[in-house]
Amino acid sequence: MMDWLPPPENFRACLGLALEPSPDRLEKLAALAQHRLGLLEIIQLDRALGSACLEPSQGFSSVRLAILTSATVDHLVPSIRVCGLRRRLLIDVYVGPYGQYRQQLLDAESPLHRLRPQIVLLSLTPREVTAAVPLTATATEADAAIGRSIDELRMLWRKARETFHATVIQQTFLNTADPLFGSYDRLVAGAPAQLISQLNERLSQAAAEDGVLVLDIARASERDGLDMWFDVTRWLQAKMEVAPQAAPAYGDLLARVIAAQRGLSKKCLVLDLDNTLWGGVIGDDGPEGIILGEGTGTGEAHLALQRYAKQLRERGVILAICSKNDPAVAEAVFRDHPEMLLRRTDIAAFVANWEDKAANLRRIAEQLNIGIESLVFVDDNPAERARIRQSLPMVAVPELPADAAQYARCLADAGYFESVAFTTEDARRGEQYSANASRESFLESSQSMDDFLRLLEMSMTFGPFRTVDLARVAQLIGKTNQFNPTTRRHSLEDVTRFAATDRCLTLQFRLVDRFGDNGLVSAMILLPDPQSPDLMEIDTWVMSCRVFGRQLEQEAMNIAVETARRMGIRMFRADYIPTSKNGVVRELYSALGFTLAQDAATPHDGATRWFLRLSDYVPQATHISRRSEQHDRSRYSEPVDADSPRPSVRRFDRADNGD
Amino acid sequence: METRRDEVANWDSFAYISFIVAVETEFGIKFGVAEVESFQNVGAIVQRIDAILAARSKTKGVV
Repeated sequence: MMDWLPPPENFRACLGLALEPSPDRLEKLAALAQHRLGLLEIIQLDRALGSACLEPSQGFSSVRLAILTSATVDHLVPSIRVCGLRRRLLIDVYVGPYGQYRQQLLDAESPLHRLRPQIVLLSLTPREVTAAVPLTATATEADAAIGRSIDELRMLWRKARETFHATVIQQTFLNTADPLFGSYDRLVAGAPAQLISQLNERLSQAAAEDGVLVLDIARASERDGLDMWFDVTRWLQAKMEVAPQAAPAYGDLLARVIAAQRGLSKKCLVLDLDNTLWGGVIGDDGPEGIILGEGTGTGEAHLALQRYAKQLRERGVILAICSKNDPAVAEAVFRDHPEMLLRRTDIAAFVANWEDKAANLRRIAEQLNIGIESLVFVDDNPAERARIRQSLPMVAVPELPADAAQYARCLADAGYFESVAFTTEDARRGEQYSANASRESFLESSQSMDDFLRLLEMSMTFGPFRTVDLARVAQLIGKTNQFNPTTRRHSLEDVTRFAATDRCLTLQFRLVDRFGDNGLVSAMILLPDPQSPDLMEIDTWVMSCRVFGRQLEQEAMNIAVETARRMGIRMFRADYIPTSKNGVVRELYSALGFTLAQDAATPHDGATRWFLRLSDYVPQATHISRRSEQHDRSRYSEPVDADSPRPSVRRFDRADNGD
Repeated sequence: METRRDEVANWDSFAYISFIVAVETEFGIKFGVAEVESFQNVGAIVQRIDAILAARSKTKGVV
């Protein structure tokens, strides 16, 4: 397990170093957490983490997690914390008392209510359910019993949401039931194994409908083998549903979901070419000599990696190439080789040269306008991998197995692109990046920037958040780092609440131009000031980096001012809270005509506070025309109702880069 | 070696099982449920580890 992580070189020595008092202890511990650690090493690292002074420092964020359980889970906690640290998340874990998950949620006096968790994980065993259904139950009876359990889960999910506005994660059920009839179990509705399998089915449907996330340990146990995940001795001795030896994998799975929910998943897959995307060296072997495609196992292995990359692209992961090659020779393979599955248009950034790969990765991140920490670098050459790990520790570099047949699986196992939604924007991202390439060449041929913007024939639709927008808005808020003056990470639950609150002003903006539809690319949340009824605060404003420099911010502000005026608002307040990534909006409000508050007492270092008297606002001229959303409204005008279940949007996966 | 479970402060069944898991992981061995319940002190555990490792090296023909 965890084979994509490099083994630690000298764990004890590194841990010793990390324990010495120094300001970058947390950095050292986080670096150590990047390795393939065994259970005992994880426990030691977790102890060191507990003894370190955990002031959330630069680049780390904290999150409060409550685990409500009907089994023993305390042995999983060190792994959860260490795997969080691996993603620069400091997870504060609260474990509810064994078996009291209902009381914990329903009793307003329980310690859980004082903790106010941001994430609630329900980690349950299926034994209560299976014990209640007799073996002789008919399919209808079994179905009804499962339905009742699911209804109860949904009640608990709703409670966790309403009480804490928490993100809910439901763990799937490990199928630990021993066969009774053998293969025939599948055909007996009341057989325990069949009940658990149905329970997982129904749980997934309910979670999709309610917008609850799942932690799919059932799938992981199918991947690794049940014995890896369940140890009956530990169950009998200590009611551990998840075996201690599975703790490192469990912690990583959970940390992935939490990181994805907080917008920390990777966004871009950077691939090497020679001996990675194909067998052999194109510069030496030529297009006829490289090994790729049907016919040989090796050729199919490299093709399988291409296929997996192509599938990732279809779900919104950006693809890039970083190769030591002659660019013309390398590009020719994509254009001319009949067995190539990946085409040049699938690749958003193509860098082939003889320079250092670390410099090239920086260039790729810059070109795509995404953070370098959102890259995954796949290279068969251990020296290149070591070089990147050493010079760019924030880039994920999987330890590829020696056998090319295992490449795709290794990448999949590492779970870099874990998601918590799948929106139509995700599905179209690849296309949008190709369109961006066309826009760039169009820009080069335009006489001036103004000319370029005019000829882009941009038009925009806008309006309050509708039910169909919620998943995408939450995603954009979760993932946008650059055009994000306040970097407030509102969850889907929060966004739903804002949209359903009368006095909140929510606005979403979609941009279309001659090269295509950019989709929902900007969102704004304005909240009324409780003290002054005619003042609104711009709580959140995010914009996808794909549309920077297109005058969208000016047109969006024009619209926000118009809409707010109609609501009787006279003044906007807006904060800029600097982070390492949002420098691009430092002067945003100044440029839009806001005035800097001189004596602003903002709660953040270096933050600035801005005011705009709406009567003073001079609408900005832009090249963006407005299109009515009326025709859309007839289709989607359902207003958001905070009590209704989650939006009925397709929510499968997400890998948008807001940036 | 004479240390017994009831002599260690804050020692409970979870701590004991965690300790057993650590020992099993470190030596790559596995105790049965009854064995775990029968250990009277640290010495008994050490003896059992020695016995398991000795049996293993014998079957492998290693001295």
